[in-house]
Amino acid sequence: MKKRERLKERRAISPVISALILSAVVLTIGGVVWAFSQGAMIISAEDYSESMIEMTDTISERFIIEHAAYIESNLKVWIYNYGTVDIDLKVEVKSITYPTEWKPIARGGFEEIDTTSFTAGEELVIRAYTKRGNNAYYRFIVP
Amino acid sequence: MPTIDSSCHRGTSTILGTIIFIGIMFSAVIPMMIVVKQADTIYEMRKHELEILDQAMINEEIYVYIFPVTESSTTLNLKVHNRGSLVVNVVQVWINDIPHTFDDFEVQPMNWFEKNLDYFTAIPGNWYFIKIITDRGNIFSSDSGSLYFDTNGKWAEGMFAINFFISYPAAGWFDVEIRQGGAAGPILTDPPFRIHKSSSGPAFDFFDVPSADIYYVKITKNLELIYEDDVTIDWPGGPPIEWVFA
Repeated sequence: MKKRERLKERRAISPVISALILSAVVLTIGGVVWAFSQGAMIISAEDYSESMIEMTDTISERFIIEHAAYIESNLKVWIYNYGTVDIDLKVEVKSITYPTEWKPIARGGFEEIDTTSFTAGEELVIRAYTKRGNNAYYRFIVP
Repeated sequence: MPTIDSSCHRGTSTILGTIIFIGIMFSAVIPMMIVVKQADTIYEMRKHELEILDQAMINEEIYVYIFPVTESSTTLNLKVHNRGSLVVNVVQVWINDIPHTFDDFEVQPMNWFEKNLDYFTAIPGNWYFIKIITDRGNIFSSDSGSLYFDTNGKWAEGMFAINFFISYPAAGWFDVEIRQGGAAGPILTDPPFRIHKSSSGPAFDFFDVPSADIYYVKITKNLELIYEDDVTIDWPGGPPIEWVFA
């Protein structure tokens, strides 16, 4: 019992030191949380704005298949990008895409895309699609 | 020995915690919310701009004519008539499968612009199909139809016609009188040529005329005069089709 009473009397060596230790712990933990939350918020904000910019570019895409012609036994397709953003594009005819790599078309630019030969009289649906997922269609009958 | 109550320690920590919380709110959460809000605003603005551009694309109203300067000229003239309320910028013309890009082909509203396609040479025995592309992404085919350069090196005469576009407020039947050579010339609209306009929108019709000439056109509705003027079809050197807007 005596030992217990003695321990009771010894608690809190100094109230000031204990207050300082507690404050230091709070500040340290708070600082870590602060730094973490600031970092997380910056990353979230950047991710969000990047996705919004990407979405804005996606809705800004405007392009048409302005012409298709069968020249020297090859179907050629002409694309006009009249939108406000550059696009990367491919053309699909009968489930085959042309060219194999994405074709970049600057805004306001025209591009000619070569495909392959088809059977005379065949009715084709030409689909031009961009990397961002927009489409344009054109119907063509092979002469 | 005097001791400080533990609630006092908690008070210090609470104050510090509150300051840190407010600090996090002001230095991380609120700036993030502002950035998100700005991104949303930019997206909405862009969406609105695109809606306006798409609407402008729909509102483009132009008529395209292509014709030779003379009966045997190997080049063609392109005439673009802008009947809309927006400035139209023609960026490309297609003659068959050959494109030609323009950088100075601007047509003001209610105006027309004519250009000689001197880069192009007609080959005898060929048909020519023409279309133009505007910078808003519209494609307009020639209103004067396709052209044939015959094996003798002469442009074949196409169909000569007068097109009527009636947007007069009143709906119902409109009587059209057409005389060849002028007001005193022989009447062509016998039996009478009548155009019906519904109340939902303008009416369109056309009348074949025999040759390139001056035609007197009079449009009346219940004897009230709506339009009266001479229409000249000057081909070659002009389009084989002329419009009457009443």
